[in-house]
Amino acid sequence: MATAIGIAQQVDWDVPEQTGLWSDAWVRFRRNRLAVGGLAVIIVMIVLAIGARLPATPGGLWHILHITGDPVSQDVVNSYALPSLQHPLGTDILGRDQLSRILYGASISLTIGIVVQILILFIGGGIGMAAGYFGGWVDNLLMRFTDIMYAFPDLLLVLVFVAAFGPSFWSIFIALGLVYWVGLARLVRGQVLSIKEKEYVEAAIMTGTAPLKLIVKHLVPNSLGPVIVTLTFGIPAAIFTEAALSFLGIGIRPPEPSWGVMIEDGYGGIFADPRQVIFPGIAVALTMLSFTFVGDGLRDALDPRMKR
Amino acid sequence: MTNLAIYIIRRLLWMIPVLFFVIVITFGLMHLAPGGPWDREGRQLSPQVVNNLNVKYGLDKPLPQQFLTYIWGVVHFDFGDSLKSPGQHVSDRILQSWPYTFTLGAVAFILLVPIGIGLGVIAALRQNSLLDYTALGLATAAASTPNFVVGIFLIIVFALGMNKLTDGNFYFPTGGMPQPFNPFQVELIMPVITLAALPTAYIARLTRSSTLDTLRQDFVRTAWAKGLKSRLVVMRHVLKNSLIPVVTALGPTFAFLITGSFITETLFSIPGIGRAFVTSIAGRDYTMILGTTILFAVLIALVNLVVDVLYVFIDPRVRLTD
Repeated sequence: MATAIGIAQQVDWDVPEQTGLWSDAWVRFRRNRLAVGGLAVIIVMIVLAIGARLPATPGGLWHILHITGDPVSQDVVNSYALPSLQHPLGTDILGRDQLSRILYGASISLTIGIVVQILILFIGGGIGMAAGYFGGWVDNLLMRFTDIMYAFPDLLLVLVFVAAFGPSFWSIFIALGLVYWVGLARLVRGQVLSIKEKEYVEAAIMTGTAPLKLIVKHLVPNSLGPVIVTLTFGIPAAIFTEAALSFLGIGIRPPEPSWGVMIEDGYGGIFADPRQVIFPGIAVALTMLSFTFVGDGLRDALDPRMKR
Repeated sequence: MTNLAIYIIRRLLWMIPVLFFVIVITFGLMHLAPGGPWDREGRQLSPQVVNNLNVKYGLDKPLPQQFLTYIWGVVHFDFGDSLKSPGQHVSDRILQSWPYTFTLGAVAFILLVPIGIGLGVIAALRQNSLLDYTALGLATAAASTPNFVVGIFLIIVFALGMNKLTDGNFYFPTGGMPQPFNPFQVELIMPVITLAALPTAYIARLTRSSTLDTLRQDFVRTAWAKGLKSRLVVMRHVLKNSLIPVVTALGPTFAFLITGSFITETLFSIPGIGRAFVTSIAGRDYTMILGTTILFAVLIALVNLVVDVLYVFIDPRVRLTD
């Protein structure tokens, strides 16, 4: 009994140390220049993407950016215009302003990339947590199900899902969530299984902690680091898949300017004007690279092996 | 040895329920999809014709019956007729496309292994040197640039750019595969780079981090301390251990090269399986979609099995479980 109380006190002591973990991680993250650079690019891109969705009021962000056109209005006389003050990145085959199309595309890509992770967190995290926590036949059933999902090539399954739901923003969103949760489920299950063996969890169970409190107070916070890293790397993967689907002509449909749609459009006219693919191509690559740098930085910052 | 045989048989048997559910999921999603194989752009077929076609291909039957008929066929290795290419078996169409996809993937794999592992090992042995940073930078850039962007940039530089520079005398062709098809033709250069860029970067990064881990181990320090020649330390002590995770990653990489070539094939108009699949999805060619999915799922399962069995021979610490 005395030892149990001793351990229980230790559990309480963990709380201030946990905030220490996060501020430590932030210090380590800040030292990684590539990761900070990536984060800066992402923040700028998010601000611009929000700006691209705002109504074009005079003096607003929209006008400050010199974007006079909107992403869909056509000006066929001005097709394939060279970059100018009015159209900083020129215009496309239908005379639509390229910069505003790329910024509008950023809002689609970033929304899909980031918001899909929430869906993945709920599906993958929930299934992994249930399998690891309950064990037994629940674990068996859920893991056999993930095995089946694992037997599909990712992109193939996404293609089939999007075909089934019909091409739209929402169907891509749901398809990505329904396909990419498998990796996270396996990770969370492994985390939960190993944390369940730790002394502080045993102590918590011994002192009669309710299951829900056990999950919320111990299992979730202690498996958070690797989960955050996985989700961060999931963002460029989702952005890539959306662009690839649109490029294959199965994702978001024109005239909505997703980056994949722009690249497909531009690829059709690549001999007339290669700039049509270069700019959206750079936009996708830069965004994915930035998220990869942030993911690398987070992994190093949150890696428990680096702590000691 | 008998242990291994039992393990392999159990894994092969486990493939049967997995494949069954793969078919269930694909079949269900396919029929959930709006539209059907007889939709045409512009003028539609008359209802009478559509009805006759449905009767011919058994699409007028209730879904459970269609499903059972299909499963019965699959058990007998009969994957049905392609709905979009009348009179052609799905297996024939897949066999026609297979050489393109396989050659593309195999050439990419043969180039990828030495380049990826070589870059990774050299970067690790010269950690924090300019060479290391260059290799790591290249690998990170390649790992986060979508392959269609890589492919398009290659086209812009090596097809459009070089065509302009040399007045059309020398440039890489952008697409199509002439007959007869062989693995050494110039048409394959850009598709292979496009397909292999990402997995090469992945293998290089994996090799680098695994080699760095091994270099820090005690037995490597001992090997240095007893005065072994550096080449012996690297070959006998470091690589032998650091390449274990890399070898196991090569299996899924090969599977990725075969099953992940949709975009490369579309970009360079290669008539391979990936392209056939994308066309079948758009055209709701149900039997083709199912046939390709089954092929890919079998391929992935077999590759994973081979890797797991190889693991036992590579790493004596591993015991087979499950």
